[in-house]
Amino acid sequence: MTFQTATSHIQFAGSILLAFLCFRNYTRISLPIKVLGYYSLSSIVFQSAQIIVIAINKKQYLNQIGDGFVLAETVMLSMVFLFAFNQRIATRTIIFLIVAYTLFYAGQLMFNENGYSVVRSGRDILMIALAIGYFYYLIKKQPEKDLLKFSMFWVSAGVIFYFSGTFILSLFLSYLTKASAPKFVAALWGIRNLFRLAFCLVLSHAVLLDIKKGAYGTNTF
Amino acid sequence: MEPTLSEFTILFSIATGGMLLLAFAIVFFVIFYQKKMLQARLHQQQMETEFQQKMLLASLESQESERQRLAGELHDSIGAMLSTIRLSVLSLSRNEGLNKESVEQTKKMIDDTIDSVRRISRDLMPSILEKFGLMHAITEMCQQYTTVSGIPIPFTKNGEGKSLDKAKEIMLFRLVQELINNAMKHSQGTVINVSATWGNQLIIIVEDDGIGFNADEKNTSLSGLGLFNMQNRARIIGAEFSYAPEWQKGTRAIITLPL
Repeated sequence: MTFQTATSHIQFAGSILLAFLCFRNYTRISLPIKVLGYYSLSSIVFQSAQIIVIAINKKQYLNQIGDGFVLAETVMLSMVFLFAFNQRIATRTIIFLIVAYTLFYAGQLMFNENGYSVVRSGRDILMIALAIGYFYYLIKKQPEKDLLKFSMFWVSAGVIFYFSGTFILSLFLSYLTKASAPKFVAALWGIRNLFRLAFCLVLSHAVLLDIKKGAYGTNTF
Repeated sequence: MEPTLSEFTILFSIATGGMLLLAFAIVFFVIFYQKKMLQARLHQQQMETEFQQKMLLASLESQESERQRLAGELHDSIGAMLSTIRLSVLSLSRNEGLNKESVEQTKKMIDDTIDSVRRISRDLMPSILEKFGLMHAITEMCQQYTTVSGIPIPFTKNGEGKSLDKAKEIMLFRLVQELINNAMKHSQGTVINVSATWGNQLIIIVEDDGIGFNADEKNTSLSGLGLFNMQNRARIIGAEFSYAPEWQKGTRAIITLPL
């Protein structure tokens, strides 16, 4: 088993853990965390599809599945922030950003041969911007309690770390696939998988915090 | 010129590391900033509380000084004038032409008025508190209230008494005075026990065997503004005031002052 395959399985387990925590406690978690559950579920579905394709297609990835997950991931994580902000202006802005990104995504994949790299970079920037926006919202609202006890703080922190970590990889993805040795790309992808595992663990911590506080207990002020 | 694989790896690592550092800086800033804001808010709340306490203290001090002035006026001015009137009436009573019964009645009224003025003056500012301290003042107050109300109010002192500053003595005296007044008015008890225990802290207990009251019910006169005022008075001198919730019969109020 290669490093990339091993880390891929590990991060897949991370997604399963996240989905398990969310759906096991579905009635006790707040709306943004419920969306996080659907995000992890979509991750499981896309990864399962990729595993099946690899099994059938003699170890060849199907890029379209990965590209599809990029859109699903962007929309769902944006929805997490949309419900977390719970404000009209933020809702409108995020809906606009989702629509704009979807159009950008479709345009890039249809007309740009390096579009898969561009859409991933765009996703990373959008996610980082939403996380920073949520941090600003947290500071502005000045909750009385310790920030580290807020589930959405951990979600934002996870998002900002994970997508900052993958941004450079996304940016150079097309260059790497063309100019670098497949082993090097596989190694980088393995590191990206480890980032994603850490992301899933941070999100799981956020879910556990949310379960402790009860639905809407911590995310709305 | 295209970068080599090792050059690219270095650049890639630096760029990713930079991004992660930036992310870390943002998260750290948010945590640090929020903690700082919380501290600032806490500090502001403390300042507001201190200011309110100072205002309350100033108000109570001015109340006490006004009481002292009134007591002095009553005792020195009206009391003295009444004594002079009494003497005049006495000299008039020697006059044969006057109705003796009427003069006696007037004398009695003047004596009663003098007693009332003395009592009011003493209640306003007991001179014994200033001269002999808190324990003597409470002892005298218990004796007076026993005489007036007919309810026995024994006062027990345990331990070696220490001298407190005047402001604290006045506050404690007023608290005990209000508690005894409340017990006489509302408790329907047959006895009111007052005790003071000196140690690392001064613990004053005022308890009765009456009907008691629920300190959690905000609409009763005892647990409403009166309780709030007493707690405020206690807080100003760094004491704690509470009602013993486990007290089965009647009411038990406890004032604890660290020494």
